[in-house]
Amino acid sequence: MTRNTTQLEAVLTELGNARAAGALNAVDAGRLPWKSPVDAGSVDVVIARIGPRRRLAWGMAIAASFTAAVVALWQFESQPNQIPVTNENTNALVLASRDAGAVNDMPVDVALVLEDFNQDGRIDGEDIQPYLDRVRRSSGEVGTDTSDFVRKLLGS
Amino acid sequence: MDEAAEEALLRRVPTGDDAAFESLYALYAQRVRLAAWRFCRRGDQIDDLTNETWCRAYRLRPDYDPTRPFFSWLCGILHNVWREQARKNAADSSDTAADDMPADDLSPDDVAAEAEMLAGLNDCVSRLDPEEQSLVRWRFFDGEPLRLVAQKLGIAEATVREIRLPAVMVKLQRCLSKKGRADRFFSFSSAQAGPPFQVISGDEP
Repeated sequence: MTRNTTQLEAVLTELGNARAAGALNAVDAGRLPWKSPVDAGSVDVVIARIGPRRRLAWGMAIAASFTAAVVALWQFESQPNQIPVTNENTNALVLASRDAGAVNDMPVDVALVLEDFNQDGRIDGEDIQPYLDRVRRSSGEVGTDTSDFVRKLLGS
Repeated sequence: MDEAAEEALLRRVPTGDDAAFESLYALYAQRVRLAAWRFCRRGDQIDDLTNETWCRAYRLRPDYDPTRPFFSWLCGILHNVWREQARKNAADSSDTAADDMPADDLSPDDVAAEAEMLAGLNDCVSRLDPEEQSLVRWRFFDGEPLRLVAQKLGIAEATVREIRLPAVMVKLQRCLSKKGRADRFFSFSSAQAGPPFQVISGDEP
């Protein structure tokens, strides 16, 4: 066997290694790296490239954030009788989306003007359209009654 | 694409011609992947290295000298990207520093030549008959012994060793010669202390 043949065999073996590593995978000529430098695939590579210590730090930060969010949600949900309307210094009212039962426990003047119009057990923005439909069916004067509803919703 | 058309594209690169650069990307993307693999020897880093190389090449295209080989220019950028990434990896973990750092003698021009060679050889293999392609795949890509290859082909081992395999080698050498890459590669190999690639061991005749 000649030297050239032996070398060619060696290069063929190297070509096999390159193929196994994915170096000869088909290239999508339509996906231009300089136009979309970050995609799902490269994000994976970037994550894989981050060293173990940085990965650990990022993991701890993400875990801490997730834990804080869970605790906050748990505390919020564990206080169903808390009045979901807060009166800030600006007198602006913020209405949280709550169960209808919880709204029934609100101060009377607020609970009376709000209704679960779509009967989904919650009083929230989803109730606006059913309310408008009801007004349209009864009087047809949506504009006036809508502003009235908003006024009621804001408690002013 | 013929040489004149490619030269015309290369002349348009420094002018910021996006269409020309995109055409060259389609032409060289595969070779850049091969070169990236020759640097890092890791399949999971190829995409990252090549994407960054093309992004930088796009930004640096006004500096490209059309009289210089485009692929060597790309490999120079790739070499820098690879060294920077190796340093980052080394900073993240001292354990992998030795493995990630490229060998000192791995110059961009050498890698460009090897990548050209591998791309040309891959093209030549794809032009073989289906049975010959299977022979190459089983014997060299999968590293199977001649006895198994002969069994799969349903012929005698001696026939594979004495007739089929030499015939395939001759075909490949002729194909590479037509591409003008055989002489370049073999002269390159001779200039090294030894063959650049490891020869598979086993049941060599």
